Amino acid sequence: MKSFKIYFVMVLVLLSSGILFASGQKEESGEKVLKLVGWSTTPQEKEYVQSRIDLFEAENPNVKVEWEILANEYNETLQIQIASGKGPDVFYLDASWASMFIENYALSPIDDYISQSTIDGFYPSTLDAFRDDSNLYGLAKDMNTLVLYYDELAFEKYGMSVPTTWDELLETSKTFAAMDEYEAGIVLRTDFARFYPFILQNGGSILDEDGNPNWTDKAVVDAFDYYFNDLIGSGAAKTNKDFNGENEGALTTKKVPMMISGGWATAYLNENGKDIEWKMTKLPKGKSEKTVLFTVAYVMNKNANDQELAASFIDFMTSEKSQRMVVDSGLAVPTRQAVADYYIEKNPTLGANPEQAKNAKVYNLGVHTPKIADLMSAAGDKIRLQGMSAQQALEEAELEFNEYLDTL
Amino acid sequence: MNDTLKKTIFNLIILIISIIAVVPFIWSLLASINPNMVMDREFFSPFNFTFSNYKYILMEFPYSRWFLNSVIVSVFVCLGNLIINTMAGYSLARLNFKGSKFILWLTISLMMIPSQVLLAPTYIVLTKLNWIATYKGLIIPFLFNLFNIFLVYQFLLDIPKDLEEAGEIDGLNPIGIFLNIIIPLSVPILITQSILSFTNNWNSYLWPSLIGNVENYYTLPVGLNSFYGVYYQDGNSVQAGVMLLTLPVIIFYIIAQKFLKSNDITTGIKA
Amino acid sequence: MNKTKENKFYGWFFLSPYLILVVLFFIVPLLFAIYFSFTRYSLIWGGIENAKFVGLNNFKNLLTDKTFLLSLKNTFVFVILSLPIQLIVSFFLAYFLNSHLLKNKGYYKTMFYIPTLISTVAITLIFSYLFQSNGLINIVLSIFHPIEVNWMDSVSLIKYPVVTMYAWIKVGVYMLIYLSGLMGIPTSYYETLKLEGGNFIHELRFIVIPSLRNVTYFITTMILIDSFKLFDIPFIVSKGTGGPLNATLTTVIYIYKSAFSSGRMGYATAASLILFLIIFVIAKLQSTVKERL
Repeated sequence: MKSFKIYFVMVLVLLSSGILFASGQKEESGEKVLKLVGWSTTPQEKEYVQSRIDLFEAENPNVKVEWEILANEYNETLQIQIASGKGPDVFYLDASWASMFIENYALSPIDDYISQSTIDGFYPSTLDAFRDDSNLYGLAKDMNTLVLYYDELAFEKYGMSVPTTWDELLETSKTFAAMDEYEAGIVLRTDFARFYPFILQNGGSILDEDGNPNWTDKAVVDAFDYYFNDLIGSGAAKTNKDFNGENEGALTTKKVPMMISGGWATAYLNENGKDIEWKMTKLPKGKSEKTVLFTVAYVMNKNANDQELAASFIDFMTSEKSQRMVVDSGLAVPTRQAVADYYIEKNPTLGANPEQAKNAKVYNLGVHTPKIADLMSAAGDKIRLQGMSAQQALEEAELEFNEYLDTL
Repeated sequence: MNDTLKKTIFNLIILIISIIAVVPFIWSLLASINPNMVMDREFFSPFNFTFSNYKYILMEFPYSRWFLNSVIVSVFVCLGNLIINTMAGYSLARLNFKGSKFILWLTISLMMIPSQVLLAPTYIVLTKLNWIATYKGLIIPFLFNLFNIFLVYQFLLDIPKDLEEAGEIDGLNPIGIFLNIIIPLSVPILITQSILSFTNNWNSYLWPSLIGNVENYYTLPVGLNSFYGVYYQDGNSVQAGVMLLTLPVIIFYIIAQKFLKSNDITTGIKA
Repeated sequence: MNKTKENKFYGWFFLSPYLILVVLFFIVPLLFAIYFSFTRYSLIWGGIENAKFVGLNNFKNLLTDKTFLLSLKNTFVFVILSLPIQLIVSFFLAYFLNSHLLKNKGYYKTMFYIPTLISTVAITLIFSYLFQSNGLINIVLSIFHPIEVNWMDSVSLIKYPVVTMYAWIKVGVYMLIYLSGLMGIPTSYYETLKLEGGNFIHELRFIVIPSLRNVTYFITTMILIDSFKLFDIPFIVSKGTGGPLNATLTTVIYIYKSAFSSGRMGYATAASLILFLIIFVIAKLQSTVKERL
């Protein structure tokens, strides 16, 4: 019993000393601190961003860049940091979230600090999401478009050619799906971002010029029909959910010979696709050649301490030189047109990704992007799982969206 | 049916249940050392044994630093929990005073608030205290645990009143009774509490990632998560990460259990 | 000092460390949250001073918000399925572990607790594999009746894998608590029963269950509270969407999405206060029932 008493007192002492030794953090002064928040997908990516930061610090000796890496719950953490009144000076922002931040006045415009010629050097579609009527709020650091991946071995073995149109895609998928060797011709994901290109290719648009939903438009309905009924419903395509959520994995394990994904998938394919001969090509075209572009920009917080410094940092991190490093690291596609050639030269087989940028629409539908994506994906699920007609599913989605707008 | 047969069948059933219980763990373990088990989740894929996934994590990342942070945070939180929760539970269960019912219901009610909506306001409080990216911020807000207070409370309710009365006759005040009578009687629940609190903290991700958001203050789950890419979440190195995260806490659990066994409540409620 | 006074003094003394911490790190944030519930506020507006007061609007809108009501319905289903499963399984695991018939208890105790130790992500991965259309579950079920449905992609079925995973992760904890309760039952009770010729059923009915009344109350309360706040598993399983077709959309997932992806912090806090009220009423009912028994 005595020992318990001693134990208890010991614990108390330990505890209080722990709290004491943990305290006493002092901030260093004398230099400007620029806080950057972003994420990092691999140690290599981290390394090259760090090396750019080091260079920036070398060129600006009185500046210290604090780089905070957030991997998961990025948006949540970022929002919480902003709510606490501080937040980072510069941060990564995905295009799909840009409108929410811009329309809520969370960002500072950067046009005053960035020259027009710099801005003109970017693929216009990569900056679309980061503009409002009058200002530009960020510079894209890299981009990716949705492309078609396929296993060349499969196509060679059966003497097939790679599909370039919707009809060919359907035919080819059906042919492969009929073989015992494959479970389906292509694996498709059922979330909105992945079937959005088909809507665009069919001439549809999600919001009309006044920002109202336009979802029962024939072009939209037909695109849903093609994707969910013709491809998935017929068994020509299977969804990633049929492969335990795996999209890329279904291709690398030879369950399907085709797959749609973004340029980022190359990292996975390089590591896991050793049994196949994977290739990348443009998405099969519908009425027009269109795809969806994903991009992330460096943006400036409204509360940034030194706006000029923050803007020059953004400029530096997206400069031609930086983007050449992006290319050398092989991880992403540059957003500056001048570097695109360098990319294609370095990665001759991955040209489809930047080539499509001219016909790409950035994945951003304004401030309600998450809600729209939810409703669109749900409409697809209704067709796929409940056998509802595309027309009806989209009518219901539109109705729900209008109701949602009313409650705001 | 004779007794031996009954015993054998009973043991067999428990064995089967326990095997089912550890299947996901075994799968993780196998995936972490077998480069072939990537997407297929197949137990019987051709077996290649490799430690490269572990090497990758241990070499490429400051694992030891994260591990140390996790140990510091979990140990202090666990000890603090033992003291503060047990004190509170004792007060609520054994000292009937005006207001104790209210505090009890307050404690239970607070558990009903989804913590997700408190993320932002709590972060604001910590910012005001300047505790972001400090050990203080990682430890002090977690020194109490509502669940454990309620747990201790429930267990102390069952202790017979006469033991305390005996203490009172010996001239002990409530502090003396707490230290000399209650604590020795509640060893099993203290150990249970330390297991729950330690393992809970060890695996906790969201809060440490908000508060300890600078690499020097990463705990193990935060550090390991910092390289699970946004788009690229698979691969066996992730499973190796899961193992490197889980094994220490399993070892802690086994040691704590041993302690429970050796004490075997000889001092316990049987008295 | 008289007894009442002494108890009062020491009562607050023992509570003080807890109260200081809970006020600072729970009640103060909660007061912020309650304030938010009467405002229109998005976290990216910056400080709290930017929140705009809107009175009871959030609450009014919530009561007619179909998605919110659906999320409540889903949550109730998860609670109703989870409560008996977790309670019964954890009780029997503990009871078996405490049985004198069992050898190597230490190993089993560890094995039963391991599921609570591994990351939820790893568990959801393996379970979704088991519940695939060609997964192990379907292979076993096909012995009785051929079945080829993908549980993880079915609006009507996905709640079963979710409930199973949830129980998987949770029963270890409750088992541990039941076990420390069982270990507190004096062996003399069992011996008396044996002398009187009682069997296993008698043992449960006259010794174990009555002795564990407080523990059972505690565990029931915890399962109720915890499952009303169910978040992790359906969130990971549905990749944060609550799909397919909102089948796994629990109230807390809806709250989370409202706060962080729709930028409606005020709306989200109002929803969580409604959820709180529901849990509170049920817990109060449950405690009344317990007092009556």
